Amino acid sequence: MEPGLVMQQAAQVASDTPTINWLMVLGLGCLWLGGQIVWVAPWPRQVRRLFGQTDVPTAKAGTPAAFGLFWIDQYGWIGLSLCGLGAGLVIAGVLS
Amino acid sequence: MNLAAVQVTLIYAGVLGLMAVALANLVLYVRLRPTTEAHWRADATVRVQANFVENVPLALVLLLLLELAGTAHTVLHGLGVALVFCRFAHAWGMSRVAGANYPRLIGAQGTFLLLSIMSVALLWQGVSAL
Repeated sequence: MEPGLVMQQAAQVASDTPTINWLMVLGLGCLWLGGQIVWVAPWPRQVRRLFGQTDVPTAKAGTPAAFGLFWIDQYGWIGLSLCGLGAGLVIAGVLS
Repeated sequence: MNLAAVQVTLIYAGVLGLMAVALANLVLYVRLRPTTEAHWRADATVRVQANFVENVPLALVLLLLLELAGTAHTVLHGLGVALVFCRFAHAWGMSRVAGANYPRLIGAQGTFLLLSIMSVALLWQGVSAL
């Protein structure tokens, strides 16, 4: 195929392609994954304590159990952070 | 099909294809050295390859569709580089340390995030074109 024809086709594709609001797309993508992490992982223990829950699991510092709790907490925070970031990006996309 | 129209996907499909071969051979390398390799590495290398095979083909299909839909090359390169980085981080993390570690976490969740973003972008384009 001739290069000129390729360019014509590319220009045609570009003109037919709907404009993407990348802020919205990034935000919805973050919300999709963040929401599932929040669904899968328990809420971080820090958040649970903040809301008055008293039976929060603990473990002796330096043990494998403590590392496991820390890792799950971290996973929960990643989910909440992605949800927050996603919501912010969606709002920014709507306002842009 | 004119392959020049999907030149960005061609690059990342090539890089990730080579990586797939390397990961498959890493499984064999570890299996052939049961006395010198740490016992946890046999399962870990299999899981790295399995996770790669589960996610990368879909990611490349999404990247190809985005390119065919006329997405800017800058965006496609950003997604492609991020995908290669995530898969490398996942393989590196799981091959070096047993159990949970940051490269593994970043690689796995980063891949899921890229899949989510590319899927939403395709949905956006599809719905907008109705």
